[in-house]
Amino acid sequence: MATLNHLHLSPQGFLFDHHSGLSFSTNSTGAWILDRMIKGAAQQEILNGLVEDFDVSPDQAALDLEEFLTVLRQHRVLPRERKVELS
Amino acid sequence: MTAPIPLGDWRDAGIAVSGLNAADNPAPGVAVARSLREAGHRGRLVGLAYDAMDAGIYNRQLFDEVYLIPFPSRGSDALLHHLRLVRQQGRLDLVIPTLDSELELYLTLQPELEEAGIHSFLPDEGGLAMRAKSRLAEFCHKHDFQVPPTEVVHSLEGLRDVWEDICDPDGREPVYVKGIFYDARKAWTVEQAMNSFVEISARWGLPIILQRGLAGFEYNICCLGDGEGGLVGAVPMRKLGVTEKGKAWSGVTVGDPRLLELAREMIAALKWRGPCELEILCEEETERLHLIEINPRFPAWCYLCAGAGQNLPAALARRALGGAPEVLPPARSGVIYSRAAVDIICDLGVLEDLSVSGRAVHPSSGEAPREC
Repeated sequence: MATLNHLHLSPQGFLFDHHSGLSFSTNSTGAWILDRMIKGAAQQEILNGLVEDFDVSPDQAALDLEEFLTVLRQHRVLPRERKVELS
Repeated sequence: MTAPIPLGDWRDAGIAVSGLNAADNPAPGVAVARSLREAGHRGRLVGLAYDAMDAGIYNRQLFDEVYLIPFPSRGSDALLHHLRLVRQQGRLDLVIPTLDSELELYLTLQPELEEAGIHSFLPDEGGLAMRAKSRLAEFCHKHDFQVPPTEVVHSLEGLRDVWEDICDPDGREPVYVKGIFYDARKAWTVEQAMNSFVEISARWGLPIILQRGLAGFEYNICCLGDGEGGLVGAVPMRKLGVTEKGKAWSGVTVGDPRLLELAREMIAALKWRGPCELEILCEEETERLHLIEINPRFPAWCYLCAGAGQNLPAALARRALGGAPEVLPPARSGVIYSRAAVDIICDLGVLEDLSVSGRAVHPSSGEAPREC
């Protein structure tokens, strides 16, 4: 399981990568997902939470989560070569 | 090399720092002096300047006295003469040169300076030569460090001969044409490279270094080596903002463990004694770390080290003056610095004294300032 403890996320959705020195801003949904990823939540757990808290279908939640992870990879917040296996 | 002599509390020592230019491409002297003061240095702090208009001269919160010293091209005797004058006027235990072009002189003078009780904390000649821009690729290959394709050329013909090998075959990245001490310019064509060769060599001499640019981003690491292969401390930084010349104007400390490991390996390979700055490029595609340059002195941004909890100039002073080796705390990542231009107000007497006698005393030194 990849650890993401080099990421600092503020309650306002400001993300700082202590390894790369890059910083990002995300909306409240992105911050919600990142917060759970940093805490080590399983991917299914995050999907279930999205469905519950954001009133979306499981398919839509899976699609949106994958899109968000792709953006994180593009910005190297997550490694590009391999997908981060959420526990 | 003479062993350092315990001199009591380093904070009472007389320390001289060079490199007081503090314009948009500042020298490191002011940052070193600020770091020392922040660590509690209360002894005599002397600035060594090359130009009466170097902005650091006028910072009376930092320096007690400032001296104009001869340019390195005047040779070691002239420098020694001036350092002895500084010593005659008050306590001087340590000198911290901060400019690349000064180091050879200070190395030459080390025995005389030690004899006069003036210590330093410098690399040896072997280490200094090994990290020279003209030998950096050789050093990297020998020790298995990654380095972008690099060629050292001594003539325009030589440049033409290697151009096809050194330029990016896809034409996406430029070649950097670098002077032996300073200056680096981008060249996309052999003609541009030849123009830069002529201009840079006219100013800084030969050889000229050609280095292929790689897509990626840069890290800088401020390091202090103990001279026996050990790393006293290291603070990695990523630039957040740069000037038109590409010099850092703001930055943030980072905590990628790969950078610290690389710093540890390089300092060990060089057995580096004293401060240096590693310029590292992280290649976009592979995330490999390439060594671009090793600057043999503190970087101008070294005050960030103090801000991040690893005051490396103070650690140097302590070691050079015989203090017990200490384990520095890890530098905090996520600490930002940003430069700011400020106007310093100063009496005309400082400029007058420097112009007439080559020495100016600030009121904070306790010595009565001259009336103007």
